Amino acid sequence: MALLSLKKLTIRFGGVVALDSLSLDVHEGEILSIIGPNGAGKTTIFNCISRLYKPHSGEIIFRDQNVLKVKAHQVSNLGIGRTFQNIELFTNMTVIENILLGRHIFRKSGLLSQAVFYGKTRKEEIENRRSAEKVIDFLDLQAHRNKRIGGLPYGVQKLVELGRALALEPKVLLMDEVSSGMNLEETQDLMIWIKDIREDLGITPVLVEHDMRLVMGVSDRIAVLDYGRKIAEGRPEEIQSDKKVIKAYLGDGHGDPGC
Amino acid sequence: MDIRESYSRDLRIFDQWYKWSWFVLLAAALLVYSQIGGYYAAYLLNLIFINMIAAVGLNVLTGCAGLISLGHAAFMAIGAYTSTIITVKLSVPFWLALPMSGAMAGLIGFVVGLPSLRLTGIYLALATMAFGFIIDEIIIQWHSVTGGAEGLSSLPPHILGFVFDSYPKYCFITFISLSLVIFSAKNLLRGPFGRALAAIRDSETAAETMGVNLGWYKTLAFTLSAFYTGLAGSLYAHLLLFISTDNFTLLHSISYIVMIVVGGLGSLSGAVMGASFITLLPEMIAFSKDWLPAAIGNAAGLQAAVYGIVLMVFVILQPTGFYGLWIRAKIWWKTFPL
Repeated sequence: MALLSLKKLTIRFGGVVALDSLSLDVHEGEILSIIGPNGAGKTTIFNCISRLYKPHSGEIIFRDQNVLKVKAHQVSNLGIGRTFQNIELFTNMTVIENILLGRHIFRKSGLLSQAVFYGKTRKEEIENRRSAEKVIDFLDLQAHRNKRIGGLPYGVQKLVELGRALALEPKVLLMDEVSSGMNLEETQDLMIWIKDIREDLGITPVLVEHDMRLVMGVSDRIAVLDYGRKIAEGRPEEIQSDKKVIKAYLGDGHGDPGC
Repeated sequence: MDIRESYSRDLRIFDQWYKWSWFVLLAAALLVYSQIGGYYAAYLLNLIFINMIAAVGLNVLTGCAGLISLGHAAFMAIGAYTSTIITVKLSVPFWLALPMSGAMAGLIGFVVGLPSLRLTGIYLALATMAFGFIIDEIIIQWHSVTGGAEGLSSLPPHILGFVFDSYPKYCFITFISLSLVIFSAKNLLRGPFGRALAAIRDSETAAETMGVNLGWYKTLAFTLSAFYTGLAGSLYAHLLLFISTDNFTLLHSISYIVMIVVGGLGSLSGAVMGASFITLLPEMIAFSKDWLPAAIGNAAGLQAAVYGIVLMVFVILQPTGFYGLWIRAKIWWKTFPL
């Protein structure tokens, strides 16, 4: 039984078919990577799952629940966290505040209690701080805790975004090109973190990635997309030798010689 | 060195208790001055306190949630007229009329907030401006209740048999109201509610993905902001003892925006500083008239021009407002010889 499964998902933008009857299963505890050339529809999948785009047909089932039935702000409540390809952090807030926002779905105190900031609210806030601090420790962000996002290097911002999603304590974590803009060392750390996320935190990561070294290093399974269709799926070594994948990335050698 | 040992300490507004004493000292000084400084000084203090409440209200919406409103004078008018009408015509006691006028403004704010879910930026500014004109027109046309264009007389408040019939006495009411507003606003803005608003301001997509219900929080921001501003309106009516639509024009709405921009968008202390500065600005202009050449000092529209210049100077040179200056001064002081 798959944890998250996409069934015949189709979405069109004008005349462009971004996803063409795409089916994909994510199993609990595996690391799945989705790769493909630019414009293949990788991020579109994530945007459909987090309900930012509305697919024309198909189903998204997450732990027996139809994701397409809930509103965008309820997706995180189901247990789906995500990061964004082009960082979507809260730039005027500090690192810790960004991560604390990941705890938003756990709040229980009402507005009146918050206005007095005593009892329940205080207890909750302390609990939130404790969880946020755990995330900060996990990602080694201590040095940046109280800095504003605006002035941080790109690689660190990517990590904060990852941290914010981890604070949600999701079941599935959709990671949209987390490695882009990271240097080699940071990418290597990321590789370890992705494995830790699965093993220590029990979260199932789904990656959209361009960095092949990272993809081949961490993935249990890889799905390859081209023009909104899944052209291959399998273990990393199978994908590396797949003819269709090589053709999608490099062309088949019979193309226009002028190109 | 400040080393924080516990999360509850991290949550404090001031990390050391003695820092509260500055606050208490400032409050005591202001209250003493309101009693001995003469009628005009007390009147100005009242006005400053009321404008601070309104600025804090607008700041919740524009500073924190990033939703601009050019109609806040209308919320003030709703508070002022509600309070006046129910105290004068229905003999509701003042202590009840004050929160009721806030609630009335909050209710209207909720309704106005609903279309704002689809509007942002300049379109929201225009919609709220139109809302201001509509309220203006309703007040003028609904003669039997609001007194129309002639205006409406209000009464000095009575609480437990005590009549607050002079400016120095009234200072206690405005000051206590201001304290409650700042206390609740500070708590709301440093907790989950304030974080959600700031998140909406910075990135709606991310906020929604993190589980923030955009529509609900935007409407709440409108409601809370209108509630505070309605309170300010009620206090304003019982200060002036006579209100008309001339007290709640578009220029007033704009002056609240100027207050929070000059003070520093999104910060409570900024709203407080901006409100004091802008309320005292006409006094400063009047004071400096004698030193200015007659051609400038007696020019019509001098005050509006100064408003404009102040706003431009701040937007260009000090976009973080007085609050930003304050932070810079604090850092400079801490790291002094460097």
